[in-house]
Amino acid sequence: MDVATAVAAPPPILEAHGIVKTIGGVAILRGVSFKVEEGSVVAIIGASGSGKSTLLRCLNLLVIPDDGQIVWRGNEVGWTQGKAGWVRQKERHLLTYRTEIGIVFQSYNLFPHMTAIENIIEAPIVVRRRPRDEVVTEARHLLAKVRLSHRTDAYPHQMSGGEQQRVAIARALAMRPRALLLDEITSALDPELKGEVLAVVKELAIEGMTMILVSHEMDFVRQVADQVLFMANGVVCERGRPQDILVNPQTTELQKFLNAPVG
Amino acid sequence: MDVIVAQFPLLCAATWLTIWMFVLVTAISTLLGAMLAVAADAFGAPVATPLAVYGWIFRGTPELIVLLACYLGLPALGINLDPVEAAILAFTLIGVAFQFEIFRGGLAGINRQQREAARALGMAWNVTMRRIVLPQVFAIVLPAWTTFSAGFIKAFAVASAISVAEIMGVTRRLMAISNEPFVLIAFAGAIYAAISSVLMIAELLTGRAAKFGARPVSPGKGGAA
Repeated sequence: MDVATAVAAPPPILEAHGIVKTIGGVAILRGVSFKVEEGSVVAIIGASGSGKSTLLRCLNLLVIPDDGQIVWRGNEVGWTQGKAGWVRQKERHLLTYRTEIGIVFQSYNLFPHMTAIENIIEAPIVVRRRPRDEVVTEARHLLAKVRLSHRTDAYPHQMSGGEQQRVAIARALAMRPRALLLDEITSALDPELKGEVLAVVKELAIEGMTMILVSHEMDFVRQVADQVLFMANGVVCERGRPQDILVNPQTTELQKFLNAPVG
Repeated sequence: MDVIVAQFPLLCAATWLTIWMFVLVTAISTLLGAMLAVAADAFGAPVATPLAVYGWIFRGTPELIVLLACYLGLPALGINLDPVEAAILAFTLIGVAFQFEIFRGGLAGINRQQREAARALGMAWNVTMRRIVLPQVFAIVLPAWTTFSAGFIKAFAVASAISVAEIMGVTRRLMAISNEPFVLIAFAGAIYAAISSVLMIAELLTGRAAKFGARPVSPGKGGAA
């Protein structure tokens, strides 16, 4: 977002302040802060083990941060006012928040006992309790959007990886989330299958879907991201617009990362 | 063959007793075993460890010992059971131990990421279990469940030791008064084999329908597009 328009910009949809997470004695995240404007795309890049996936899971509280705040549309999530001060919310209160911020995983994680359309309609029906007919109609539109109308009744094991991942995107969209988290969604795919998934994500970006994505596809990041966060050693090492930091990295860490052979 | 014809009502009653004891024991132990496995999964070590010890004891002890403990041992504690009750209790104790292990293994076979995906879609624990995890568990455990259950029917012959009038018990009684022991033994064997065959055939039919669940979602390489 340009500096000139930033004055009129609405408050950020999501803010992370000083997120800290230690898993098994290893400090994965050591104080990560950033803001996401509504309708923008934030790309998180960095070497394996730099905490990118953990950060993404902290944002929708699949992983509970040890410290720091997540502010969603102006309200802090994960905490509630108790009798003796602030206490962590129970899992069932976090569920509502998670329906507002969808996630797509590297390994798709479709439900193997359900067809493509059953995967998509499951949560809107059993979680949101929306009428089945309405949800099925919407699911057919979503399948058309990800160009999979011909795979409506296919089981996951009958589909290619690229097709499974596009069903997973449709499944996340069926909850009508206000933002989408994408965790290395093309890392497990052959090069020819990556394109079909990335094309869907680009369309979502154009439509104005707020997205926070972890990716190793630098060309793709350059094309869709408004803001890039480079993570190293559990902190945001460098941040900025892709046309700036990917072209003129300031830190030696990012220079090294960008020069490293892809593979 | 005269003895079979002459004693047909007695043999029928014995077969019926075996079948209903078996169905009752299998139903209770499957239900309890599955519930305990889910509880062990949900609450972790405090529940899982005692259940593992229980499973270890009752899977490692001969059926006859458990049976005698229930029939002859429990009266010492003031619990008096008739032979059929004692047999049902003993076989249920053993059945639960096996079913617990079968379902524990089935739950362990479900990728953790399935639950993460369900949580991410806003599904509560109970919804995740009912809609996502257990349908996949049933497909996974079906072969092990059938193998165990079809084999478990044979253990019921041991109940004749405490004078339960099931197939083996009646057969032994008839052998004492008949000069056709081989016919009686073959007949008893055929009935046990028939009962387990029903289960095996049922698995063949339902196993085909449940196969999609047994195949993992393979990440990476594309399948049949």
